[in-house]
Amino acid sequence: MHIADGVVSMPVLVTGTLFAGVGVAAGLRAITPERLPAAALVSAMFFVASLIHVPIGPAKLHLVLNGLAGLILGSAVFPAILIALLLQAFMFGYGGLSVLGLNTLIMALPGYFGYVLFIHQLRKTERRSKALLIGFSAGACGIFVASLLLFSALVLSGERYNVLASALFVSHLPLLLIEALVTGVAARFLWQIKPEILMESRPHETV
Amino acid sequence: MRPSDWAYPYDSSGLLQWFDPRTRIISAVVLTLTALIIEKPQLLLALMISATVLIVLSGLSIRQLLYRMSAIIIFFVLLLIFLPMTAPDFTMRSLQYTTALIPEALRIGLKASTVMLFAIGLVGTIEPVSLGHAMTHLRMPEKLVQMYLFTIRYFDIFRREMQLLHTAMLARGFRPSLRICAIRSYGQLIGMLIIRSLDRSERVLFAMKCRGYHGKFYLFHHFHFHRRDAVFMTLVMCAVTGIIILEMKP
Repeated sequence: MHIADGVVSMPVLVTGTLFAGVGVAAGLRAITPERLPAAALVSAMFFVASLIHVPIGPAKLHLVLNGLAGLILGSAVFPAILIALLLQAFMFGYGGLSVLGLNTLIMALPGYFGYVLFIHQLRKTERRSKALLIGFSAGACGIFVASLLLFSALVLSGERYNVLASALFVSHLPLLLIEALVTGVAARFLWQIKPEILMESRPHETV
Repeated sequence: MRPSDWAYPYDSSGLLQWFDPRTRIISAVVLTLTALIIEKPQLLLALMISATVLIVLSGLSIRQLLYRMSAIIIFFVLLLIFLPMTAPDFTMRSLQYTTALIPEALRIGLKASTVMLFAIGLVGTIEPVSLGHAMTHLRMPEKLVQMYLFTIRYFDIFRREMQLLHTAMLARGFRPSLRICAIRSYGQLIGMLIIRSLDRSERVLFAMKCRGYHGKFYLFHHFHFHRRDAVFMTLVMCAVTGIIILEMKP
């Protein structure tokens, strides 16, 4: 899901970084000083949770959880993912400084999409199975749109990446299923145990 | 405040630690931009060599370096496999592999690793809290820096919490797999981690409010821009200008 430096063309890189900048600015604007610790700690949590490795055949896959992060953080998912990527860049070498913005856009925008599309239904729903289904859709949306953005960033950068982009897109499909299931279960769990987390005015933010 | 001992080499004792973190961040950004616009392979190679010199100066061990470069290496292998497949005379049926685009793949790989080496050597070896400090001085949004500082502060605590829950799961007979019951357990593990992090954030907020927090972190210690920083910056700027002039020449 990460693009390395020097791969995409300049127009794609600049456009991606600009849009990511807008997202991060909007996300930061939405965070009040009261909400800041909650947003920051949840984003740290997502960084840690993405270190969970799920065995898939002989390989191991790490969860992205951008769909779930979007559901909980709303637009604050942009700065959260930017920071996670900054740390990942230095700790694991996933992409350098120049693609930070583009990678943020690729992962945070789908999470925000999931939030816009599904949060109202998740807040309203009365049934457990429906909460699971909504979480499943948000998780699937997170990975699917992210793969799509990755695909288009590569294809728009030049014809020579067509095969690579398709291969990357296809290789993300198993992740999509696992991620959607995990997000579904986690969303149902939160919906059942602590529904106020998913509400607009959270009690812990209005201290 | 250590984010994690296993990955972050903030106690590296290389020569680069002498320089002001701001100098290192600005140099990294300038050098990254240069590496991005350079197209001539010889100049890229020169940049790569200077990046390697910086890595040596940064005092990172080979193991740490390889660990950080592994993602780039995997990516490079993928490029070598898939890029030549887009050549016009490639056919899937006879699986004829053309070597036409291999130089292109090499160039991209060289670029990617050069940028990564600059990032790892110059910025990746800054102590995490100093990095946040330097980000404030470089006029990054204050809330972003605060979120970053929280993340590095709580990263290790949450990692331990996750390991605790995971060990508890293992003790109750959980086996990592892709069966539906295992996936359900993963989902519930993540849900539990989120609830715990929010509970903790509430306690943190109360504790901070007791100490007068109102959305601002104050800085008491400031960086000093020494003569050696000026020398380093001048060197970087001269090198960059020289490389760009050479690139412009036909």
